[in-house]
Amino acid sequence: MPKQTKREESGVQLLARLGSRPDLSSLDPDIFGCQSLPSSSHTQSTPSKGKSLTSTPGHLVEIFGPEGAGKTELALHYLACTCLPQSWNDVHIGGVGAKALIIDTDFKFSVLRFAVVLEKQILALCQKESEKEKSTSCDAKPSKSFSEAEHVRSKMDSGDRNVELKGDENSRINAARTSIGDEDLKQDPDSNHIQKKRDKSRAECDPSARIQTQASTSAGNSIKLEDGKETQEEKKSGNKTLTRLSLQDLECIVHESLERVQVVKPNSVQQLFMSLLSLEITLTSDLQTALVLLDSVTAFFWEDRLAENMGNLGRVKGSAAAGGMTHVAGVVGRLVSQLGLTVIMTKAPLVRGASTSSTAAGNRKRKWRDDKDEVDSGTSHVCNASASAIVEGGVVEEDHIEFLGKAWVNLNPVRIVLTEENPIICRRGSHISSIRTWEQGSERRITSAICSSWPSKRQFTFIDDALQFV
Amino acid sequence: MALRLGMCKALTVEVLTKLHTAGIVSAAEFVSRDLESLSKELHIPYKDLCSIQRVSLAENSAYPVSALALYQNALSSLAILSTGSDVLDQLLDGGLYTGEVTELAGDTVSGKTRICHWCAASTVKEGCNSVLYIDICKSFTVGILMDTMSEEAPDPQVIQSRLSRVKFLQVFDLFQLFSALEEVELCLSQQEQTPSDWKSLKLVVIENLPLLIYPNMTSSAPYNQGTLSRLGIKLKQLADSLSIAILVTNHLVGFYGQDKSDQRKAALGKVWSQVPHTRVILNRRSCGLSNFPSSSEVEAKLVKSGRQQTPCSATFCLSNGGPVCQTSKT
Repeated sequence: MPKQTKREESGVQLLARLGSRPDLSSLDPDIFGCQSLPSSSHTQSTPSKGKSLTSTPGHLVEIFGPEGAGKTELALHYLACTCLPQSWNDVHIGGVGAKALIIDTDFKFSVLRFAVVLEKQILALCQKESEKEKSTSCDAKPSKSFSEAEHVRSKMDSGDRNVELKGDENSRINAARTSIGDEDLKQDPDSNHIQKKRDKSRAECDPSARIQTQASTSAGNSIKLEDGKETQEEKKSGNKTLTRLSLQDLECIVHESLERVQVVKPNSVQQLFMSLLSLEITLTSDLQTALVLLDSVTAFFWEDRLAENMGNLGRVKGSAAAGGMTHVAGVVGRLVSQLGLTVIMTKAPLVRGASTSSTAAGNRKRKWRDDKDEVDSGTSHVCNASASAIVEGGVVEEDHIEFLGKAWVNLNPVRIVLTEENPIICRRGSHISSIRTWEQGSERRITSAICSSWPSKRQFTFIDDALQFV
Repeated sequence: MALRLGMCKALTVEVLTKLHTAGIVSAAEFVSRDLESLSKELHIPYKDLCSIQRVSLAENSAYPVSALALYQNALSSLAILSTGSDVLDQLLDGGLYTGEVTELAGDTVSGKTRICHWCAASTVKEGCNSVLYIDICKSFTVGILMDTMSEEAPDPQVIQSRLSRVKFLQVFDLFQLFSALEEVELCLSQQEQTPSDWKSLKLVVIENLPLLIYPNMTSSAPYNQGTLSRLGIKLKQLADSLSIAILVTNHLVGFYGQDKSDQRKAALGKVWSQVPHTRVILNRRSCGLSNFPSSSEVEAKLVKSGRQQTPCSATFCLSNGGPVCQTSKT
């Protein structure tokens, strides 16, 4: 649904054209770097040739994978990298420091979860930095001993360690406490004890417990909590000495990063369309926003089909009420090509296809869909879906099913296909997973990701609530 | 999202009829048109069209909220409701989270209904929380609820006040469910005027969801999948915006057999499978229906969660009386 050529542009658009958005190539140079831009993506969706508004065109990334494969997690990982600051009080953190926008059509975005992801990200990045420092300089020893002392201390007063909580946890619990207004919780510091609370008082006073457990990963019994607590303390104190990041700083960084993120929750196709249109207007003048996360693009798929069906029954064919997602595709295309935004969308397989049946059958299905698309559109222009099956580098996206229709195929996104590997038993022994030493080994899901821009297949897993590439 | 009079000053009767003759009825249709050509075509001043567009965009689009505001809001409004069973709570990382849809999937007599009752009983224990229990069959039994409650608090007055905060609603088809949900949303969104009926509603239990969905399955795919996905969006939106926990029970489909229990998955297909935030599959160890069903063990397996490592399982005992079970973590 391209707009007719704009002969004139407003001052805002001019500024947008001359300015540029923050560069996201540090997230993943292969995908978000300049060289990987598929040239077709913007000649196809921009009507006037070469009229990209901003100097650096954006990227469209699609994350495809079955339920539970980690689509949202991967997207959150990129999002966290985007909105974290580059540095904080001379401490290098390594984010981009750009604003981002989440379009949460799935109602699955949990801001608390995102805060945890941010924290983990900061810690991981700092860890990396400090390891670098360790290897170069020899000031690792005193810090080590300090963290050891901290460790011991935290062990010593583990009885009332919750009173000892510092920084982020403490203020968060305070926030939760005061806002709930639970008197018990306020007056009796002992009731702060998570284990007790879990056993005795329930419901309303639990947020702090939840946050606590989230911070120290999913945990249930006191041993877990204690372990988690210790490692966290250890980690944090290590950070403090090595990178001069206090817990207050950590809290501040998380707050600041959260402030950069806007969340939109549309609840229907029409509302999604309208929201995107009004966002298009605001984002034109807002050059700080670099990333738009559409999670998920398939949420309204069937509803849209339903509307289409109803439309065909009762109304004039081809009216705008039907095919809402096609219009959405148009706006997404404009966001990428004209406004230079990077759009990440997650896509769930809502139709049965290659992922469940055999590959041959899946191919047949895909073939059939392509044919159908061609028939529908009357052109033989669909080449992307079939081309996506075998991409350069010999990586085969055999698990991908295209079902959204021609408008989305024509956007030609860079596609990351996630597949779940068989759960493997991994032994815990490394410093990262030491939190979970209470279990000798457990199933861990490894997700492998295939993307045409990557030289090879990548695998990632979730260790300690943080996404780690294997 | 229709274009209607009074929406905007520029949208007069004359303009509206002109737009209608051009086939533009809804706001979505309007904003997707190019205003310049529309202005030429219909002889409506361009400025008027612009202001109509502005108003319709502002009226119909979702408002962006800062994540920081959401974060602070989440800290204040989040509650974790106990399921009444320690093992299950542990498995679910505390219990049922408000703002989320939790699904219990299991065969008959796997303890779905009982767990729902436990959840209801332990939710009304706190403060003045209330529970809405929706079911197509009459599986809701006050007896179980009373038994569960009387273990904790033998005082009949306390039990009475707790029972008064549990509401049961029988629906007979999907559309009654929709209207019930709409009603709840309407009442809670204008909380000042509401009677205490829905006040501090924390948990909505929807039992036997497949029984509501299956009658629709005979219709065409876009129709049944569309309504199902609408229901999913509605539930998630309700949970999210009103900060209530939603507990849904579902059946299992797939191969049936003692050792093939792993291959059984929740019913209602791919569309529904995206909906719940958390899914627990219940599996009864001893399949005997007649021999002491009260003493048999139930294995709860967490297969989907945004917080925890999935597959993760725990076994608990569906004892007749109360929520306290002998714990034996596997």
